[in-house]
Amino acid sequence: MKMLTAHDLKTGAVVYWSGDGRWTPRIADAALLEDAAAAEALKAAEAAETVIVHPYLVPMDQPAAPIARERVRELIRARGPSTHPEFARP
Amino acid sequence: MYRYDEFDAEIVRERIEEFRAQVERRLKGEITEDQFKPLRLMNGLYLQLHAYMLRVAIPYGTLSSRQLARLARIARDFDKGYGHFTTRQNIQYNWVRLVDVVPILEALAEVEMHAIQTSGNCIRNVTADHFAAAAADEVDDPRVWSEIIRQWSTFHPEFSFLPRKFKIAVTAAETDRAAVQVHDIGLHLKKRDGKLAFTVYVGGGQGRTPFVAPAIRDDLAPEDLLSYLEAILRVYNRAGRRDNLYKSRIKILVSALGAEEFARQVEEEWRLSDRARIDLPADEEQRIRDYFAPPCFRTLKDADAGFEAARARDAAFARWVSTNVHSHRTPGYASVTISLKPVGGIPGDATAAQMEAVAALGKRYSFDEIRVSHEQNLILPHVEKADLHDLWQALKENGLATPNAGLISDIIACPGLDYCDLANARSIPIAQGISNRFADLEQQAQIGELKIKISGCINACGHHHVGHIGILGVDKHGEEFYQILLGGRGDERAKLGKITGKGLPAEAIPDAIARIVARYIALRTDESERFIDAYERLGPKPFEEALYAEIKELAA
Repeated sequence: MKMLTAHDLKTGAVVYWSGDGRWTPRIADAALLEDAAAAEALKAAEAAETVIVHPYLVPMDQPAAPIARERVRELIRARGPSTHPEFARP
Repeated sequence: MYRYDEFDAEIVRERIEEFRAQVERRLKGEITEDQFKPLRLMNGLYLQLHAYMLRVAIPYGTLSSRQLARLARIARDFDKGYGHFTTRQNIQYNWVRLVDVVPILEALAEVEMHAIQTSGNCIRNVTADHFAAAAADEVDDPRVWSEIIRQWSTFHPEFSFLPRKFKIAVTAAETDRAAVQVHDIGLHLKKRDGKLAFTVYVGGGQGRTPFVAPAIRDDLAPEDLLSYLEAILRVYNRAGRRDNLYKSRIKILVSALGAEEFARQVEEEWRLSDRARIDLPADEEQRIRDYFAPPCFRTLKDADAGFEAARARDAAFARWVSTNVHSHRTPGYASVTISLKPVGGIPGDATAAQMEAVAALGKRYSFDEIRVSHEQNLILPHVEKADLHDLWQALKENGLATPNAGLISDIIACPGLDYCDLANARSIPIAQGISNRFADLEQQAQIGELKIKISGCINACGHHHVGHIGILGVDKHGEEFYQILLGGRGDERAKLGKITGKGLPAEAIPDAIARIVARYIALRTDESERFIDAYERLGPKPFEEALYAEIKELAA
């Protein structure tokens, strides 16, 4: 299973593909996609050049829980720098 | 200070207009991200973990009050109210929006600043001794030569597409405070037989394959500097590898050829080059030198009664003086390190309010000059001793008077995995953990000089190879681990640290450092023997034993 993430082109903010046509700032709202659906979503995202930048897939085994090498990195991306709790995202 | 001439102002303005059009085309979808990325990087704009990051050049770390106040305003108006000073004497904004970048660049241009050549395979911002023109052990102002190099290298058509990025550092003092021997080119200006001459180090650097640079010349006449640099760059541009990102820095070429052969090729290229065309005429050198004319120091006695009395009466002030105040070549003056390393704080971060405060204090007490050190602190280079107590009180009000310059909590740390797209592990929380572990400033002072440097990946932006104690973050199957290096130094006797054994988890680091420190205290001859001296006398063994002592017990 995977989720699709990227950055908002204009602001650079971290966004996740919700699976229902929207990009959301909340990792909790990221769609958990089967591999085929994930590949398709990534392809569509790569075509959405005027909306987002640097789309990629992250391996997951349950919602909001990235796994493997990307685990720490993706959790920090989702929450904000661990050194600035005041900027933490829900 | 250097002021832009018409040419400087024009090229910065033109570049902004060019970038404005590029951003507009990107937003409209007329160019793709793949096409846009190299263009934004040429203007210092990266995409990091949370947002775009803009890196702004601070040539040789010198700022006027007006410039620093502008950096503060940008932090407030376009970022989350703070900026991060880097080990290359630059500032980074971590939260900029693409749509704000052109207005930021315009705001910078108004104070003669920009973000050009802060990324990409070109000659990057030139760094220099942060005590330039103040240090007593200096033979010349290294910023004169840094500025000459800046002008020569800016948009140099032949060197805008090098095999890899290229960093030059300059010092003109006996004590090397600019870590020149771990740069692609390090220039150390010295007096030789009564004349100034550069020792030219080439092929140093940290990262995946660290090297202390060999010196390929020790008698380069200053007037030959540019043609000689050009010869080095030409040899590199021609022979440096472009097939493998990890082997493309000049250090790999110098190491592959051997320093002697590399030097021979440079000499040959230099001999054939049109030196008269490249080297700066004496009047032009003088014109640039005039920008760096020393401020109008008052004629003072070196000792100031008010200062001495304040030091005698106020122990906290005396402690700060002993660590953060440095001798100045002019009687009655001192240089001041403003620590950006509060206990438990984030190394190198400054809030907009702090930057504004330092800007105002620099104007009031230091002839309108502020420096950024590669150790991620700010410096007021020229302060009257009589003003030190007032300055200290003002710094205290702004959380800027931590008396720890050069001590164990004066840690260099890269942004690490809290921000950086390349990082494997966090650096800042490790620095904070160590800083909190040694929160007792009295204890820090007793430990004495100890430089800890932390990188969150092998690229070594946090200079871990030249830390007395270096810490390198690595990723092990999605967990952060930290390797400890011992015995590195980045000064005029530069050495790479030795990698110790197994990496440790983050929570074990502060105690591990404490064990190394305790062993040092037990073994040092007396307080005058610094950690690095003791390490060099005793070798790594006792410190490695201390580092792993408890861990062995746990395993047993």
